[in-house]
Amino acid sequence: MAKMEELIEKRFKSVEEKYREELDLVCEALGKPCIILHVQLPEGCEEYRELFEKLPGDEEFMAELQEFVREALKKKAEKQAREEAQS
Amino acid sequence: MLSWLGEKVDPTKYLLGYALVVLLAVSEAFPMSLSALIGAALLVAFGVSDGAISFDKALSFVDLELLALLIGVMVVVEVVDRCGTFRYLALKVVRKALRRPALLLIATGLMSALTSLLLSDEAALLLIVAILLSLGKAGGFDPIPLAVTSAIMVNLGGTGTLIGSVPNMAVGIKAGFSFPEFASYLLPCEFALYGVTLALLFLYYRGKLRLGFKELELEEIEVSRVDVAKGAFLLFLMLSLLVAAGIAEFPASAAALASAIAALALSGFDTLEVFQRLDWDTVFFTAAFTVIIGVLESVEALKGLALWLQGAAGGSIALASFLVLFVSGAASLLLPNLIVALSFIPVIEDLPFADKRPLWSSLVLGSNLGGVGLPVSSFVIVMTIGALRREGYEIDPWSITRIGIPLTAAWLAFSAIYLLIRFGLL
Repeated sequence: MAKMEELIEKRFKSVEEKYREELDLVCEALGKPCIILHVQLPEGCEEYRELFEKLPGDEEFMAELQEFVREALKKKAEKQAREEAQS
Repeated sequence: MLSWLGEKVDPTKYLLGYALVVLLAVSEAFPMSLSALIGAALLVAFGVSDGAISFDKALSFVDLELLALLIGVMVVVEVVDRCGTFRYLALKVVRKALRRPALLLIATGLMSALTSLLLSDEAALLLIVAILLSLGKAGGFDPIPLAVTSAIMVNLGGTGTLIGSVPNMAVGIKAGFSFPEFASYLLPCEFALYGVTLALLFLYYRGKLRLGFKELELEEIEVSRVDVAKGAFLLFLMLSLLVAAGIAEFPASAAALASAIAALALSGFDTLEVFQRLDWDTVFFTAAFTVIIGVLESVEALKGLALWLQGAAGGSIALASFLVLFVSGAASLLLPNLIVALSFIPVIEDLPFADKRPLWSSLVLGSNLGGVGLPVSSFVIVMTIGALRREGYEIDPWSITRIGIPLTAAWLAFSAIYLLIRFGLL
């Protein structure tokens, strides 16, 4: 069983990039543009590698990330507007 | 087979070399292409040192017509894929059926099979699974039954046309089938199998399909209509040229290459980028494996299998067809279907039947249909499991085997009946 899991992981990894590309193209076609971020496992978190690899499928994490992006975009837009007003 | 020294060549080491290649390919110790290249080098070295073949002869085993067809089709499909034609069509169909679970299963299944008639299995599956998973999250439905249906239908799709899969191309060229001729023998069976499979999958999954669907806000699909139309035109052009090649009796490979040149010239895409994205692993594997088979044929190493088949069939073409169908079907449960198809081609060539159309058709069906029985034998099943897991859905690989094995048995049994009727073998 462990061998089977290893095989599935290995084979999927070989097409994972293509899968992500396709997912982004589908999202874009549905009017929901995506960005791809490569996030490395933070230093000192080596023991959480398994949990880290599951984050893209973790709905709670994705919702928090979405909220973080929303806040970051608002801040960026406000900063941009302030800078434009000053200049 | 006698060598130029006048000694009989013992095929044992050649068969061991062949077994090594199969083992390397299945174990995935190396990419498929490298496994086949190692095997080809080994067998050619044996053949040359035994005086059974020359190096020039070994090079002549590379099937250039097959490679031309394969590369031509790959280029067109890559260009069409970049145009977004399949993405647009699949999104349209899936979204239309979104609020009716039964219809969604059927639409997804049909779209998967029809897409894989033209796209590679991998590209077709990634496209449909990406759509299902992105809509599944937003719509709150369980994508597992639909994704598994897609994987099974992608495996089934592509059985009925000359360009549907690489084994089809290899068998079709050796059999001398034109594009229309190939379709006339196998497409009716494939369409009938769509119906049987979708009915069985619907019965199996119907309880799981009645999940509440969230209301989805469906925006307009944002794709370039010009690109979508361009892709559709290029596909139409390739299919028309393949049909014309069949009627005017010129090679399908010439039609595929002409279509590829037209696709590159008309699409405006970067030619080198298109070339970079082709599946060179399959191209090199096919080239190297045809050399391996050529060497095995030269030393008559596959004669034993042909003699066994001949003896077991006892002169009956119906029995010989069934044996080819079931043995190649069972073999492709464990081995990549291209290995099965290429290995069986010389065996069928050796069989003493005047009309070999039922045998070639059996090989196409057997090598295509054996793929979903076990997760290890099916790349599309593994890809589906991997994609589902990445999106947070848990799925037991053996749950697919519980569907895959009975389905494979049903497909092969149905195909046997089809062959009896289609070729009047009764």
